Amino acid sequence: MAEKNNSIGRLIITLTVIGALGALFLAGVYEWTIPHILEHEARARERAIMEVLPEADYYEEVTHNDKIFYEGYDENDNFVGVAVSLRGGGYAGEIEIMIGTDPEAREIINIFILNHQETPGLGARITEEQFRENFENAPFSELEIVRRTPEEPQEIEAIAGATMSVEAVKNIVSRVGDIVSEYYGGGS
Amino acid sequence: MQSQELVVTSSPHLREETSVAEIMWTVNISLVPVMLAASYVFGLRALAIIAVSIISCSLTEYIFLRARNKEVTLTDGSAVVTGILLALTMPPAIPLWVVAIAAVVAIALGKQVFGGLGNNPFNPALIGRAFVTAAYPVLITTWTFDGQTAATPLNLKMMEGEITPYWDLFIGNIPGSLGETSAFLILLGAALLIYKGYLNWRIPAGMLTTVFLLTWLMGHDPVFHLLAGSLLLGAFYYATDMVTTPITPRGRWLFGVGAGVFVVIIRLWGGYPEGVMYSILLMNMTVPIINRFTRPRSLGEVN
Amino acid sequence: MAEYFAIFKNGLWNENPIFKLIIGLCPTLAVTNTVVNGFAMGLATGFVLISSEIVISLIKKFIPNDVRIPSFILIIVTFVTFTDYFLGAFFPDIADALALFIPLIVVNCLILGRQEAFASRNSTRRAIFDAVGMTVGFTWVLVLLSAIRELFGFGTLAGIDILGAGYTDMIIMILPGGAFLTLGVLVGVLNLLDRKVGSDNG
Repeated sequence: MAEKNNSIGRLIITLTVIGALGALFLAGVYEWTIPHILEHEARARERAIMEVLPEADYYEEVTHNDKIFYEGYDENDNFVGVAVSLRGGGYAGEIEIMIGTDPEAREIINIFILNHQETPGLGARITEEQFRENFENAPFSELEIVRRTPEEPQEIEAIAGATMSVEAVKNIVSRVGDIVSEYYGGGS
Repeated sequence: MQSQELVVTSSPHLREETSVAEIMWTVNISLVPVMLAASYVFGLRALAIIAVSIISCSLTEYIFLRARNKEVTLTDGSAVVTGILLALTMPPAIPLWVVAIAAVVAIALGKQVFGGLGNNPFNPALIGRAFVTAAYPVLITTWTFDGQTAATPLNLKMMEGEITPYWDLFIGNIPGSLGETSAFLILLGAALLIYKGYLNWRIPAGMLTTVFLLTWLMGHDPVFHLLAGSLLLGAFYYATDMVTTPITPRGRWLFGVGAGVFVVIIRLWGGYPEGVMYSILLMNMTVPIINRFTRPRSLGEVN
Repeated sequence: MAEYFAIFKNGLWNENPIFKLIIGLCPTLAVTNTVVNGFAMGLATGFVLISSEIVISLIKKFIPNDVRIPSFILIIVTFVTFTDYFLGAFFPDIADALALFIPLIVVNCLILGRQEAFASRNSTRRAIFDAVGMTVGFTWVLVLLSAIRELFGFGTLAGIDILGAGYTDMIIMILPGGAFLTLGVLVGVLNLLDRKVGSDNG
């Protein structure tokens, strides 16, 4: 450790040099890794969209008012539904959900949890097929949580011990109707 | 080796005639009516839970005392008290192995790692219960009544806004943990302890009054909140554990009021329907501070 | 050579960062709920530790004493950011699982602590042995801790089912509370072992 020569100039130069070299190195790392990172994100998104729009063969990204919609089409170019990704607060962090909808029937087709930090074994069960099935054919309206086998389409069966996580997913998904209807006027 | 002729100890030098064992066994006896009621309401399963809990607690205590080369003091009844109190927090349908795990945690992590009886900062039975609450959240919230799944009065109120009749709450004809059934029998046991002078009445008085007043102020049914759940049992038995509560009269009032505030906060705004366990554990943490700030001033002391 | 081996061995037990120094607990408690996560976190932290100890021991003569801590942090940040991007690009599953805790390696006091205590006062060769020793010491404890938590919490080890389908998951073991309890009990048991072994030797 250099004991003498602690002049202000020397301090500034040292930090600047270290910072500049680090930045240079990281710029290279960024250039090298970012294509791979973007590719993983795109692939994850594509898998989610295909999951929530099962009849779609391909999808197109459309922007309405800065909001991204994924329109799904089948092999004959027929419109089969639109997917949006919505986020909201969960029990332990933000939950991001891809939601596939059928604007004409004013129904949710399916949902897919993109990101979450819920408790493993409890809240994390929102990602399970059995829970997601609750949202199939759910209407564009406020959904309800019930503690029994659902009888009505808007009813969502609770997960024991994970009330907050289920509530969060319900609240996020309940918003989708208004957002989609605004640009894909249902029934028209 | 210690000298037999001269024993030098630090204060206090005044000694109580009553022994630990006498107090502990009186507490056990005062809990007999509640245990009988549990086995009447929930069947023999309740007795099995109590037996497993007592045996597991005693066994763990024995093993730890032997491992630490301490005198084995099972006959003082403190492990049995923990066993019974732990069993009374269990839902009747709980698998017996969960009870055993709770008992081992209660004695091992709740009591012995701190140095055994007298040194534990938290109520051991509640530590055991808190552990299995976090470990098996589904099993610990599965309530049964007459062989059917049923919601506890506090659950009913939280989910459906339904108030169970006072009389059912009072005599104990309701689903819940083993010990949170009959308000009447809890009061009976507590009366015995108060008569014998083993129960510091200030803590339950502070806790119950606070819950009554706060729920009333918030526009809820104060009598329901007093009788439902484990409030009475908690106030008289768990919040009065001599080791984990303040020693000064003012401190006991503070402890009781604090616990009452936490119960109301958790019940009315929390994610859980019942908050007695966490409220007492939270207040256990504050005991050293309470003791320090409520210490009576010595004669002639100047600040 | 014996001298270097002694430096290496220090990190494994005598100055084990977690058991003996009780530092670097943030990742220790947060991500050790599965063996894969624990191991990955050990390696990621180890990579940052080794790289920054090498760099700092090389340039220690040029760093003025007054700005040594900011300089160390800048160097550590560089390697942490590299790790973050590298994992995101080539090991996306691990990057997802460790998420926020990769950037948090920056504030792992184990890393800064070793720069201040060792790399800035020793030769590069000695620093390498210290960093590798600390890495192995940190990683083995993380793996042991996560093995216990995963076994009780999920009934599996490294994703392989051990306890069978009838096992009821002990949720607390996957939660931070379980990490505290397991670590506390482990430190107690290992110190007991240490004392036993020590008294036998002496």
